[in-house]
Amino acid sequence: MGPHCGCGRGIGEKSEQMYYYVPMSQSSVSSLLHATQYQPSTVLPVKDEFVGLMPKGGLVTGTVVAVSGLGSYTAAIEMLSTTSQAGFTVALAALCDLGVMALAQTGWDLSRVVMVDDGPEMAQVIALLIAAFDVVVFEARLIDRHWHRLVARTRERKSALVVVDQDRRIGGHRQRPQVTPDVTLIVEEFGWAEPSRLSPFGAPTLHLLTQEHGLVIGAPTVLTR
Amino acid sequence: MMLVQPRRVVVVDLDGLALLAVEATQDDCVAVVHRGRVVALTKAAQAHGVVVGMRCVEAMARYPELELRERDGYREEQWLARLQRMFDDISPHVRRSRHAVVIPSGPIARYFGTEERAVAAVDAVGTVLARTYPQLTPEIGVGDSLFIASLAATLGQRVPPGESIRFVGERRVEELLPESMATLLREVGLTLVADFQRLEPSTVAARFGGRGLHWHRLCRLEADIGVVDGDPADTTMCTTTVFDGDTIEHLSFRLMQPLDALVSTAEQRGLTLTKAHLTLVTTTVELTKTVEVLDGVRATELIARLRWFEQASRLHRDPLVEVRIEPMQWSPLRRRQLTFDHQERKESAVLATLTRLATLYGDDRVLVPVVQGGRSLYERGTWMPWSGQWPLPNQSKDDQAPWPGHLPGVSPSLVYRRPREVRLLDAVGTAIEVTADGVLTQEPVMLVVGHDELIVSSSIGPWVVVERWWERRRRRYVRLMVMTSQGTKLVVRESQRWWLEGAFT
Repeated sequence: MGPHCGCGRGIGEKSEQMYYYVPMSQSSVSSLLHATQYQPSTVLPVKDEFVGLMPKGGLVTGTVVAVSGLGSYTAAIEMLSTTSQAGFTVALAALCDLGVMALAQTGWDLSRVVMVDDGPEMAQVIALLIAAFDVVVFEARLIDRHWHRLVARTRERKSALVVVDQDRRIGGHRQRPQVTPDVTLIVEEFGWAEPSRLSPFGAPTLHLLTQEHGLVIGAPTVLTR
Repeated sequence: MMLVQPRRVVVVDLDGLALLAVEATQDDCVAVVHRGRVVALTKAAQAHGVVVGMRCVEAMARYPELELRERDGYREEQWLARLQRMFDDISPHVRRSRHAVVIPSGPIARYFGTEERAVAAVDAVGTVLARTYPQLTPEIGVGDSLFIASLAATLGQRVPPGESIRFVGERRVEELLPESMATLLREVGLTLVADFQRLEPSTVAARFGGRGLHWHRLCRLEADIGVVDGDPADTTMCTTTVFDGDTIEHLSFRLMQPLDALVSTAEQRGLTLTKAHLTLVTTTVELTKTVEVLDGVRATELIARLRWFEQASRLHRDPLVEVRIEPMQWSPLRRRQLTFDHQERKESAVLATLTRLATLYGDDRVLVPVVQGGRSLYERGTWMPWSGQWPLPNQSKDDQAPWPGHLPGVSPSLVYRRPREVRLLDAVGTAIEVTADGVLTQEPVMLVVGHDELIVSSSIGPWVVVERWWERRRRRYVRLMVMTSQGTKLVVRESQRWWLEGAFT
């Protein structure tokens, strides 16, 4: 028998001040917990340069991270390289132009990366990926009317959703659903570093800062590939 | 259906069965392909330099008139069952395994007097087969288990009784084990199978998991691969007729009980279902999908796959008349060792999700990264259809080759699968060209990508790349890196046009 407080009202009736618990057996509770596969949030590791930028020093499962601005693909690849190296599974949705060599060079574990090609029913595809993979990455253009369901599923299944938003669509007027990521990693400036021995034609340089619910957190960071 | 596990066996490996199944003769220039690679070849194709294991693209580059035919596993099974009957005069206990006919050695050795005479009789039938079907190259092997005999057949050897463990132990790991497993063993310093045999099972289970334990047991002759008796037409199958108003839930419910009984009975005999055909019979055609799972598939999993298959085909087919599930292959049962961190369960969830996606949306929509050799960006690292394994096998080391002409340094974050045509203009809007010496006619000022006009701040290059200059299919193009307001772009000049190959964004 579960706890319930009544103050003279029947079990199951609702009041703004009081909450009633429906009596449930222990086995029913455990079956409910099993059905929802409840897990506590964990922090997935990210590359050292991103530790200071991310809240809790990593990618928190059950949250949505947007990477926006010119250079967002490079930033996402760099950020998730350590996550992939640590053995976490990463699924890419409709990112068929993402360079495999760039993933390999930044140290991704390619044996735990999968991509689903662009096509119809992408929301359903992403929903399936969220249930099985630790991190799911996709572009902001795929956000549609199913967005809120995907976010709810992410929070329930404790997966991390990374949205690459190069054109800064999130927050703009072009998107109908109100999209508010938990953390937004902004590429403020996308530059080009001087040539070196390892990169004879130079390499991209990113100036990064992070916003959590609209507020800037952490110190701006400069990252060179 | 009867399921047996022989001890000492004679194996006739029927190399070329794939050619027979696709109705290719040795004079046709045909390659049988499976998952983007060549798995069988006719003699005419071999004469043009195509080899087994080559990627389709490479094979076509080697001989452009080569005809590629997709492997037909179902027809191969049917042909194998037909060829199996040719050995009925020698023994009533002829069974079949993957691409091979299996005959228990004991009874035929007693009938013919000695094992040598029995093998000679089998060899005679093999010769007749090769004469009747020139596509086939029968190879005979004898060993103390089906696994050993199959290996001996591929090497054309006969292993004396009691010598099997030593015979296997002398092999190098890459000769015997799959590439992913062999790479793991080499990484820990085990180069010979004998080193692997000496490991304790608990050590193997802890370090290499269920798959490693399976191979370890095979190498130590503690387990064997399975054989199936009976004709595919006679094989017990689960089938149900579709009535008006039936949904896939009704059909699944009706199929579940007999299928579960079939799988459970086999499990009691120590066997697990590793291959099955799912067939949807409509008013006009039969749609068949082959399910192959190395570790065995349970009845519930098979029913789930049937539901996904039905869901995927719903839009493109006529009304259903009948649904069938045909077990095609059984293997010795092996329990997977679960780890305390639930890694196995997590991997199973990923595997199930990818299988579901591939069934629902097509095998070519689930892609995995492949790093390989090449000069262009897309050749060096590409996305290939998923092969059904998870985690994915380790990558080959072809990318370590020098490949002169490739782009050194960091690779672009975006590499376009289908390069887009762009325009590169000078200050007065004239298209920029490249001279025969590889020099730009003007300094680039603007890059036009679709409707976007990007101002070029600077550029690096151009570099001329000539590929396969010794062949008729040679390719010459010019690379240029341009810095624009929308990031750094990598463009290529080929066929008198500029193409966007990749971008750092």
